Amino acid sequence: MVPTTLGILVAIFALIHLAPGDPAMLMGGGGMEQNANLDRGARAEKFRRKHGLDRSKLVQFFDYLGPFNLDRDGHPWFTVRYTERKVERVRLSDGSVAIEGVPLAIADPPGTDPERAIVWRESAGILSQEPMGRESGVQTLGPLEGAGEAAVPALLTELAMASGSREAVDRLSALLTGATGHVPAVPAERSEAIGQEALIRHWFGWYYTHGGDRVRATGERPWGGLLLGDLRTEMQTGRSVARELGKRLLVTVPLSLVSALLSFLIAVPLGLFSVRHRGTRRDSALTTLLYGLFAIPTFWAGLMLVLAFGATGLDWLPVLGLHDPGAAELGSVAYAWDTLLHAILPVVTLTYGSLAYLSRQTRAGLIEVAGADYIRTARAKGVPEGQVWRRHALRNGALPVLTLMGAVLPVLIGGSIVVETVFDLPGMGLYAYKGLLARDAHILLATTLLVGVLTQLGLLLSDVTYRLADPRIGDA
Amino acid sequence: MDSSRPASCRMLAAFWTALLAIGASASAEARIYQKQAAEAEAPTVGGSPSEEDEGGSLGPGPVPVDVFHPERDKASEPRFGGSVVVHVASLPKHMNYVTDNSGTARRMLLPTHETLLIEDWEYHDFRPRLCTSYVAEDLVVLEGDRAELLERYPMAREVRVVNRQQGVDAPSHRDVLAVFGSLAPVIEDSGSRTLRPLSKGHPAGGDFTVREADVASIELGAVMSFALRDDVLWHPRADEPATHRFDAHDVRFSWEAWHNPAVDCDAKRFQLTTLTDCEVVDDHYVRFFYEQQYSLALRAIGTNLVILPRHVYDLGDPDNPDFAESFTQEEQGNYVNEHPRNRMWIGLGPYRISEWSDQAVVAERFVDADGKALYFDRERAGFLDSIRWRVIPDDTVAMGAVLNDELDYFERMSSEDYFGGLAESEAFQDSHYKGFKYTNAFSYLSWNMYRPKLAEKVVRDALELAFDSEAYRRTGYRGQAQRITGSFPYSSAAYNHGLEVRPFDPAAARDMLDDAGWYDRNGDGTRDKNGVELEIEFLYFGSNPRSSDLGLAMKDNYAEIGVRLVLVGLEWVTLSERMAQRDFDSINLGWLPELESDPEQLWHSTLGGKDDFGTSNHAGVMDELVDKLIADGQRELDRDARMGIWRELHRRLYEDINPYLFLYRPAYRVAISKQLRGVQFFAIDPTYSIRRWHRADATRTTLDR
Repeated sequence: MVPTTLGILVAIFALIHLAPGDPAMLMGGGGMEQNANLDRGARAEKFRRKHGLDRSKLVQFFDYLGPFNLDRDGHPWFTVRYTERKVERVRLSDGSVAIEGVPLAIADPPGTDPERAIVWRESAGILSQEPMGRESGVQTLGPLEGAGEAAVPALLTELAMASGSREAVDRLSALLTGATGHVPAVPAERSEAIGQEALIRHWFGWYYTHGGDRVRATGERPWGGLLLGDLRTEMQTGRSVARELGKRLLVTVPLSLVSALLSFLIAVPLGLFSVRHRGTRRDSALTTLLYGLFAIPTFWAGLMLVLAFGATGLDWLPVLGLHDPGAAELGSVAYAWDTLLHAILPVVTLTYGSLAYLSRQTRAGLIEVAGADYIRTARAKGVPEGQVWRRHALRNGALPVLTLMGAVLPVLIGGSIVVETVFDLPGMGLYAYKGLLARDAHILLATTLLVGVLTQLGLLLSDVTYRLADPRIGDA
Repeated sequence: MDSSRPASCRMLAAFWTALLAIGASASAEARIYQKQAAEAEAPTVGGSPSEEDEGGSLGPGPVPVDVFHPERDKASEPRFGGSVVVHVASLPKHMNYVTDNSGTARRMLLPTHETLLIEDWEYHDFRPRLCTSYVAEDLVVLEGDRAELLERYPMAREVRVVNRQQGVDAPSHRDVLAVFGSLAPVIEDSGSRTLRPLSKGHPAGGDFTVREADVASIELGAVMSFALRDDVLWHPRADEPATHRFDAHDVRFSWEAWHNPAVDCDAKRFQLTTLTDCEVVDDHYVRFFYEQQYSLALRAIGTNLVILPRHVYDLGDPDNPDFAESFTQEEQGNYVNEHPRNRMWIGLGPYRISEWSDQAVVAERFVDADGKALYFDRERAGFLDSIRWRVIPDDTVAMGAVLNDELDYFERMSSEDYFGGLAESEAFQDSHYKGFKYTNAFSYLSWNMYRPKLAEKVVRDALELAFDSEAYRRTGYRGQAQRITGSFPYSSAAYNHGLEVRPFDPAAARDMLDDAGWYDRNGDGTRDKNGVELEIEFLYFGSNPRSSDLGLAMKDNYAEIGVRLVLVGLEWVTLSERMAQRDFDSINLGWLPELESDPEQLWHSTLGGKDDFGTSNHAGVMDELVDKLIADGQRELDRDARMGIWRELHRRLYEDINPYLFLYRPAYRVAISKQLRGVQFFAIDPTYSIRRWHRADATRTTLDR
């Protein structure tokens, strides 16, 4: 089971990354927002960085798999290539070159005392915020001045965010000089062109070209990934995928189980009826009816049921969602009744299509055993006809149907986009579809893996059931 | 960007444009907005839509009520109570509009939150909402020795302004000394200018003068002060008494949040980082400094600045349960980004969010334990007791919900349903009626002018002439659309209605292409030139059947003149990527602009470079005159003059460049419950105000329960 699951993971991961479409293109509405930021490229880059999409595919895969968190706040054993740490060489009018860097948050190097690092970062933060009326920065200088080069990441991180205040930039720059001994020499031409940003970019340019272009992960969250049950968050909304899956399974699983159960409860007797009346008009009529149902598209059938049983028709049943708007205020019995009424049409839509297939499988299985010696023997012994079919034929003839149960269950739990759309149910199918449209690898991997695992469990279940129903299989 | 007019003329113009900018009379005292005048009730007008009225009203003015209601002639006296269910196709991530740029979030905030000003639905001017008055003052940027300036002008302060010497290609900022006040006309050759302080707490006690030699630049209306109401309550966190009052510190904190780089508002930050400072004068008075003279500054501060409750979002507020003695900017930013109340929004509007699920968001009237409404303006508190936004992504399913009377308002009816059986069905007509409305949305086909075959204007003109847009308007839209010629909203004064749509003339299109050297050299039925076939890819969002219908109609038309159109329907994420990379010949999309929005985003050359990634200037317009007109319009405070500039920009784009095949302003077909009265359609998005709606079956005569 583990190799198969891993295989599924690799296949899905590869498919997601081979498919065209970049999830970063979707942030905030896909760039067609009214009065939106003009620099969409920078926003897309930020999005990719945030979700690690700028990393190599191999790193992304093992990061997802776990147990090591390979992200920027991940396990300190692993170095992380900071692709976003761009050094820009700006050619000046006199022919010389100014080296500048893109300002970013900088992680502490491994081995940094975390308690002291917190103090430095807090101190640097207070210093940069002082003009905004926060705490006085006077007492914050002490820890920073004594920290030496170890405080550089904290100071640079604040510097990256301090562009709004000239005083803050000057203060942080002076502290950086004290810590590193480097005296910034910003060309006047650049200062005139971009103001205090020139000093900030100078510091980052200097840092990146003096060993800061490659750093270790911070170690804040060393472990993670699928092996530890971490299904990550939705890329666009930041919501926990595991929690969202849970919410949707609460909708899909009960509906699917009821539907699967109903399918078997109806299809097996129908198959039995069909084989007992084999060749008669009743058999033909039933077969025609079932194939007719099988041929009806689910979307159309769902809409017809809505029209027939909703307010446009008989007005017997609610047609949208799982509850009425005020259901939360109902008592438990009334709430259950409300749920039951809402579930009827979705369950019918989920169920009717599989009746033909399951009943034909039952019929085929039963025909196979109908002429068997033990059936003849049972009849010869005077066992009533009904009992012959139920006790002797059905137990053996329905074995192929049991195999189907294992395959049907994961498909149902995977959800039906169509049924969930027509009846407005927030289930698994729509969730996977949403993930596909958004190219959200975390949603897609979680939903497909779940279905993959359930398929394997379903097959295992049918094998076990097979063994229970037919002891000869185990003996063989 | 600076005007070349003589200094004295400029000063006079400056004075008057500053007056016009705040829409008041010439006396200085009268420049303070008169709340009473702003609150004059607009008359309501009934009536049925006529053929002439199909385009909706143009310009400001009274808007008829219940125009499609079958009993529109029978007045419905507004009563209080009841609820409304409004359809939305998708839910925003949350309702904190600082970090979520979704249009749905904005719509949901209209009844649940407030801004400093409100753009009047009918008259389109800005009226006080969270403020009682506002005043604009001019910023005079000083130059010279700093110490001397400070000695000469003790009221001077440091401000950040746009460093205009760098030109539009490299906008940057510099910190300078400046004074502010209302600039008065000066006598020529006096060598000085007089400023009159208008706002409260001005550092100068009275009128003061500035030597002309010390003036570096003048930024008209760049300082705006707001006197805030003192009777506005924040919604409570849960079912607890509402005790927190809105004040100037909330405004200041909100301004700080927009400037905090860790707050996830990159998509919109640029709108408000142009506000370089927010000064709390007292608990109910704030003053903003703008980085430069900007015609849309009032809109930015008044309606785009989302006010956050400081006691909820500020880690440094002792009233916040998560109060911290010290914290970094990043921690504050993350706190705003991930705050649980981003969904269960704490706002200032007459309705407060009471439920949020994947299926629906519910807002209930903001009342105290006794049912007394706590919203500060009882005249605008709305009639309904609750609003339910029902999420149904699929329009067919949503139409089913309408038929089952589960939606009161649905504005995405398909033409098949609108003109076909469903709208005629008993189930529909028993409970609902249909109508249509126009918004500022328009569709277009953007040509990629970097593609050699589309680089020549004559080709783009010929492609417009070859498309029978009128025939498609009649068939594809059943007549419920208008052909447009530009990107400014059809209902606004910026739209140049003097421009004629190029008529359908395939013969002329053929001649133009022949003359330009595009003819079929290899006999394959498609014109070519320099080895390039005139085969154009038509990229569109595959889930939009209207786009594919349009593409098919154009394909037929273009085949007649020897141009091959290849239709490529893509899902949004792939389409979006190709659009961002400018990897298309033509792309069919739409915009929904505000009634007046800055055209820079669509047409400025700084966003039109071949390698510029993901900009909105899809077509690649690189035109000096367009840039100049945009810059002029951005600085022009006189509304009429500015509208003239926008109309000239419209003309320049359509007649001289033609970067888009500007298509249609389509009607939205709506289904509305017959119980819902007071429905009006405005020119401002989302074109309706739920606060004006009431239920015909409501009976309560007082706002309080």
